[in-house]
Amino acid sequence: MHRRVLRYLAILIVTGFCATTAQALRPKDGRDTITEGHRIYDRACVWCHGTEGKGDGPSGWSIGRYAAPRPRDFTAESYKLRSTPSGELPTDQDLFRTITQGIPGFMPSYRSLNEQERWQVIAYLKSLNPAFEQEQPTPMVLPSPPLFPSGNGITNGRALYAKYECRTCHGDNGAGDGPESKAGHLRDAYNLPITATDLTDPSSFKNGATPHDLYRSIMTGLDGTPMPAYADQFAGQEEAAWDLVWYLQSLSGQPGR
Amino acid sequence: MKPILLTVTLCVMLGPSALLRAESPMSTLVGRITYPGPIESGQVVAVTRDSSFCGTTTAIHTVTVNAKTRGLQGAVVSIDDNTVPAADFPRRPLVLTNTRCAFSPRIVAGEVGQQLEIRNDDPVMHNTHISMGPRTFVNVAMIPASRPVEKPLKQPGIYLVQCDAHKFMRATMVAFTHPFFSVTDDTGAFQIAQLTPGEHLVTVWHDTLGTFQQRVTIPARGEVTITIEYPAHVDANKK
Amino acid sequence: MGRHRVPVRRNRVAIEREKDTDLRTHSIGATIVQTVAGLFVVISGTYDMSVQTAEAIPAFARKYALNCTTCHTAPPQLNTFGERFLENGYQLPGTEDGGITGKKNLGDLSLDDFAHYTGVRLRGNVLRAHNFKQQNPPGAESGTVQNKSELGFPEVFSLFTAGTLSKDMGFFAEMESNLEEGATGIERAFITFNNVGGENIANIRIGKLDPSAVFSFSTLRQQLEFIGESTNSSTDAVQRAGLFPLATAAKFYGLRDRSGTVISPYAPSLYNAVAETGVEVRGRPFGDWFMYQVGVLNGSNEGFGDSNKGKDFYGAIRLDYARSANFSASLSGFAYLGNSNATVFDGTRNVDANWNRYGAAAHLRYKMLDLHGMYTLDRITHAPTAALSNFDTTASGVTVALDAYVTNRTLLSLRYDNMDAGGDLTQRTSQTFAGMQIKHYLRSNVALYARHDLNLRRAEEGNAAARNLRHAVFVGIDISY
Repeated sequence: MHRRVLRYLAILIVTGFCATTAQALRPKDGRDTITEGHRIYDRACVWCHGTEGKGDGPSGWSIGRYAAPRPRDFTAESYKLRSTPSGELPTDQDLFRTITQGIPGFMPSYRSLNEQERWQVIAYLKSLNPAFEQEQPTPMVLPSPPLFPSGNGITNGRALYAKYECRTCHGDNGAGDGPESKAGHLRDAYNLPITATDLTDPSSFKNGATPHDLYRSIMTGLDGTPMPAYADQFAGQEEAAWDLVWYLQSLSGQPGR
Repeated sequence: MKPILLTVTLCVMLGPSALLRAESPMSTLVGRITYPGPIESGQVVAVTRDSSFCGTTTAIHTVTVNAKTRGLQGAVVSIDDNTVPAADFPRRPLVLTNTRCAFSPRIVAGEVGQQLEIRNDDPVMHNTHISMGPRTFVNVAMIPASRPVEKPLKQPGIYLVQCDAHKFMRATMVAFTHPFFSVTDDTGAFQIAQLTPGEHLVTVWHDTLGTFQQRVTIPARGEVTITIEYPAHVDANKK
Repeated sequence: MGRHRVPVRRNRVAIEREKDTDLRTHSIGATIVQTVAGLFVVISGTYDMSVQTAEAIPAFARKYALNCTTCHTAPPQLNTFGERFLENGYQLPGTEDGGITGKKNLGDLSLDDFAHYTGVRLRGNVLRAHNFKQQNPPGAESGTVQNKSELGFPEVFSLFTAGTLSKDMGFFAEMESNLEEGATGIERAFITFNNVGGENIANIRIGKLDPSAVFSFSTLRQQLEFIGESTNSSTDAVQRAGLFPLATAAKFYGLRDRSGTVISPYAPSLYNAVAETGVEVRGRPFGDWFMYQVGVLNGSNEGFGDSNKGKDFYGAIRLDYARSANFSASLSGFAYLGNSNATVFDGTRNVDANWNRYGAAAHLRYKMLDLHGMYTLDRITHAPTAALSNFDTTASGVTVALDAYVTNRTLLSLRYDNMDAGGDLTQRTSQTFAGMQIKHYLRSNVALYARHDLNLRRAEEGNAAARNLRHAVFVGIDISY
């Protein structure tokens, strides 16, 4: 009995310590945090995202040149990489994930900024768009992947790939060479040509390549691009979305599940 | 004593809107927007996808004028300076349907807070991509026979409605912070109710022809009928 | 980058003699030019269609999982972000990421990890054609100065290894095999210590380094590759003009290094050298707008076993503006003070002289446009008066280059080069060339190019090499992985 109490006490202390540490690393929102975030932004982010955060930094143009993507305009634009429904702003966690993981091909991972610095930058980014004060982005329910795919996971996924016309943009074999992509019809929010993601190359997935990432991309869509949200189509049958995820993973030679 | 208290309480509860509504005479503006310019036959574009259902070509009408009345269809008429507070919600959802590879209606107008309901009646997949400038309002996949997608309007302004899968599909959605607006029908007619008497500024907006404004005097009570001719010189970029 | 080493010029001539036996006549040459050019058009056309959607993640970008254009406007030219990444010792600007992948035990290393630190570049002219006013002029070795086309690929293969050993400690090494120069070896190799004394206070480089790496005009980042000159193996006279960014060049005829070997007037040298051995410190202690740079080198063409009496010193400042939309600009100035870093022949022997250089450069970038240029002024001082009766101690050079993306995959480059040559009055000839190049990227790391250089002084008198070469055409490939 005594030992049990001690164990609980120990767990409580450790949990409490972790909680306070996590809390301590995330600075309180406020003027000081934003100012510090601005200072970091001016050293690390300004080159692509620009002095005013409009995505027009001195190096911004060369990234996409005459095609998408350009660096994010923090003052008005939508965010592609979110856990929130289409049209909503991202959560702070979403912004933290993007800064930490980077965007393959286009933005480096800034995990070299410590956690506190990343939160400070996020506070500054949010201060650039007044919409963050008016809206409260709420993440969608994004469950963990099931431990095992259903028996016909990949087959079902292939059927959904056809049913949801993923091939239109991503191509029959997922190589990003669907008819709309090949014809150059796809455009981003600035009417810049954009190509569909090559689903056979997970290292190029902007929103991440884990099953959870794929599920999130399918459900939320990538705002500012032609990739729509499928959450409403999967409503009530979310488990089917995992079959599509397994199929997408099978295209890339990643371990199927 | 008691009845007075009750009246005061009632007044406070109902708020100034109820009082205004009870006291002010309300008028309705009925009118027609006409367009003196030539009637376009529409630009014919090739359909590259789902041609078995959508057809091989489609005509895009940017300016639709009724041959009989010269009425301009799809103009959005609004009065922003009406002092009557907006009616309470819920209003009926605003419906935007993907039908026969086109958006119907092509011009929708709604009020902030109102639900937009997106439907797909077609046997082919569409994606309804609505945005204002660089900000996406919603971009949802609409597979055949899917249930409607609903989303409340949040920001006033002019939204572009597109289908990325069918590039020729275009529509416009206009959101207001008040209910004093109307979209002209196929004869060019519109109607705006609940207007206070006096002079009002009527704003007419058309997605191709642009914006112009005109002052209108609304009499106390009743209905006033006007015909407004769209000036040919309106700058299309002044949206 | 078609490096230039003075001591190997004899090999070059030998190679040219071998090549010479293949294609002699102009008509055959013209046919070859047309055939190869046509082939390139077909390759670029068909390849374009098949890989329209493919974007590679090449070379060093692997480590950070980025495309080339995150750091480069068009490789090897850097954009502003790339410049700050370089200055920060191969760490993301504003951070001390130490290479981000972290330290690994040897047992954990995979081929991928190795690839994070190594890159290769293979480039060269599949076809090169020179056209002369006077064929085989007197004094030229047989076959070196006549209208002809040559096939040859690759000319230069480079193996880079670079990165960070730990936080704020980096390294860079480049091994190059240059077929044209017949040389293989370490081109540059140095280690870096960064953010010493605080963020951007002092960044130190030690080793065989290129001093102009962080200047507004960097010698090694030109879109138009170096095209080596040809010199007579017995008289050291230039037979065929070289095509270089002439502001970086030595610009003196008859100037010798301390071992008595004639320094080519085309050799990028002093502050603008490809690599010299020394130490430098630079930083931006007052913010991004100002950079200082000071360095000390063994001297011109002095590697190990420095025979120099003294060291060479250089200092540079650079002013930056990068606060407007899609625009950045920089202005730089340098002074390079040589200390017995060259010799002049006084009639009987080679006597020490100081070879100094002063230069100013500007760099402007706006969206698809990248404009950069440099002016340099060279002076020989402390030379014996006996040697100067027939020797001009002053030389200057100008290079202005404009690169522009005309489409998403096509880069147009224009370059103007002028050298007001100094040195031996009997040999020295000034030179002005204009170059134009179209480079088409099949993928972000594979490019084909066609280039034309035109002698703007070809109507002037004299048959010196700088006048005799009328124009030249090059078609080549540039691959980085």
